[in-house]
Amino acid sequence: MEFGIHKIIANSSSVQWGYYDPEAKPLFNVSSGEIVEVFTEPGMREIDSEMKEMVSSELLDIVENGKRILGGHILNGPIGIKDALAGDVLEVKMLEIRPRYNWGFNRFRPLYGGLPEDFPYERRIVIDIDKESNVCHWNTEVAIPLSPFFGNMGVAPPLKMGKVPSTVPGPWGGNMDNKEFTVGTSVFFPVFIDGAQFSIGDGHGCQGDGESCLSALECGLVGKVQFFLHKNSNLDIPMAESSTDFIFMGFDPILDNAVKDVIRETIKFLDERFQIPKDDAYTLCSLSLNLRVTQIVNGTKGVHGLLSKSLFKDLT
Amino acid sequence: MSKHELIADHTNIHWGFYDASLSPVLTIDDGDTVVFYTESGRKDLVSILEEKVSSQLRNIFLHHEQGFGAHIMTGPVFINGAKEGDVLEVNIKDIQVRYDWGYNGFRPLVGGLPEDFPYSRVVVIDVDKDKGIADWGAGVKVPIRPFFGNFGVAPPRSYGKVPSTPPAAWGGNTDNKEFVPGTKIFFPIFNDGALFSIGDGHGCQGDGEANINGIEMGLVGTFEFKVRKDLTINLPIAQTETHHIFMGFDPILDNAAKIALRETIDFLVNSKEMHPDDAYTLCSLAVDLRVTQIVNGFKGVHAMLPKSIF
Repeated sequence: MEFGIHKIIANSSSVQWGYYDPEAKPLFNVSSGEIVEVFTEPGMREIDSEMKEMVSSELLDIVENGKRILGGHILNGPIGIKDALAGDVLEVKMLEIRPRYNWGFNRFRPLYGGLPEDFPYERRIVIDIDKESNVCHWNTEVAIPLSPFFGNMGVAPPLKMGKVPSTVPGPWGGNMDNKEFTVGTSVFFPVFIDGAQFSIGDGHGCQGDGESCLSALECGLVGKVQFFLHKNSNLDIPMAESSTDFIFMGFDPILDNAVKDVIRETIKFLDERFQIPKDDAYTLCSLSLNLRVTQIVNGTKGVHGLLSKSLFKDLT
Repeated sequence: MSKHELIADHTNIHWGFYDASLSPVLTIDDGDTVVFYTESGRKDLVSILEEKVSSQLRNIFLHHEQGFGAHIMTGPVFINGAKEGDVLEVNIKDIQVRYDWGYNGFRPLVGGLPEDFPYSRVVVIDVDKDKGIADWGAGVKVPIRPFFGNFGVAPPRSYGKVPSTPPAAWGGNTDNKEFVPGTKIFFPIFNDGALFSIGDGHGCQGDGEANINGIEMGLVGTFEFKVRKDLTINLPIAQTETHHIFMGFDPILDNAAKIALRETIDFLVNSKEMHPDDAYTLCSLAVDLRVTQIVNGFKGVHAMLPKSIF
């Protein structure tokens, strides 16, 4: 099958700014198998004089003419998926992700972030992105390798929830901030409304597990994503598959709870996919599931578990 | 720079606790190396494993009562020249699996999901040293990557006898799967001689140690000890070939993550002369927070700072 590639360049009429909305109309509809190219902008509520020289006319347009509601992320979309119905599963495969600009920024502010007690003030720095060398740096001695991914993507939440803030991760995806979602990874979302209504943004040039200070290397990204609709499949919360690992997620304001959710998701998956009895699955989690702190800064925190696909090469 | 050997038996172990008042079973000099042959096991497995259980382990069961915790700790080793306030550098030279068996168990009220698994279960696991894999008949074989879950110095004398179960300032049950050969771990010293003990071999384990056990098994570990008078630390820190590792221990993971983060920022400020604001940003961009374990009462988060960015 050959398809044209759809494009969404973020501007004031092609984004949802700060929210996911089950009542939003799609920009367009695509079929399973189709590819969409997105040009995203980092979330900014205002543009000061330092930033004004760098930002695109589209980002200026969004900040001046767009309507921000609830959160701060600028999300390209929604994209409707033809034939998607509540109860289906939407797979979104990351085909290409690259930095759009030669700048990004990092910011923390009072009352938020991993250590609000220690950093009770606001600070924002502009960070240079060196696309040739694939690193970023600011006025320190360190050069950090880029590993770009979209921090925030998902389908529309259930209709009865109405608009939800883009700040938190949830069963619809949202602000997962999972640094494993790089090129080659497929993320699977439960579908809650007809058309699924997928949105994506919040480009991160790089990020550590935890996203300690509140934000990552916030930057514009260019991405190509491919959609696959799975009928006769079901999911309660998103999961993912990279070239090497199955990735399970838990979201909760308390990490201790999020970690339990991940182990439960993993045990359920091992039963459904590989028919591994739950006692053995629990032991396998203890021996081989790597639990990582996804982020501690989105109100609803995240833990994810990585389970190597190589363990199952004799079973599949 | 002598090389010593300690083979765990009933004369040189303490079972389930750390205690600064224990008499040393070996005294070494600064710079010396010790090869530890450790045991792991449960009395109830002897009848299943039969002749696979070493005579030393049988003697341990015969002559010792288990303390507060489960870990059979070999030691303590007195390091000449080590004084309270110094730092003990422990350099892991080698770790090998000792036996062709290990086990994994869970039980009610403990582990990561006590609500879902309110019963006991133990599986004996075949360990194939040559192929580097382990198998307990579940259809899945897991790769071996041995490390010691529990090692450290004696706690402050005022603590008396403490359980071997939680990780703490003296090390203890850190269960950190990164502590493979090539890693150096630095412990604050609370007593003259440091009084180092080791046990709780794990054939492999995931970050989190979800059900409360790794592959529990006897290991052979070669460790070099150095007394560092030039360092001051409050919590153990580690260095692998690729990363600096900082640890937080707390009953609540959210707090453990903050402790690990603060330890990382302190290091960046004090050792790399970074401004705290830049250090905080650097953590957000390049430091990975991982769940070490959720099953030792005091849970663990460790922060991985890559050396390559400097």
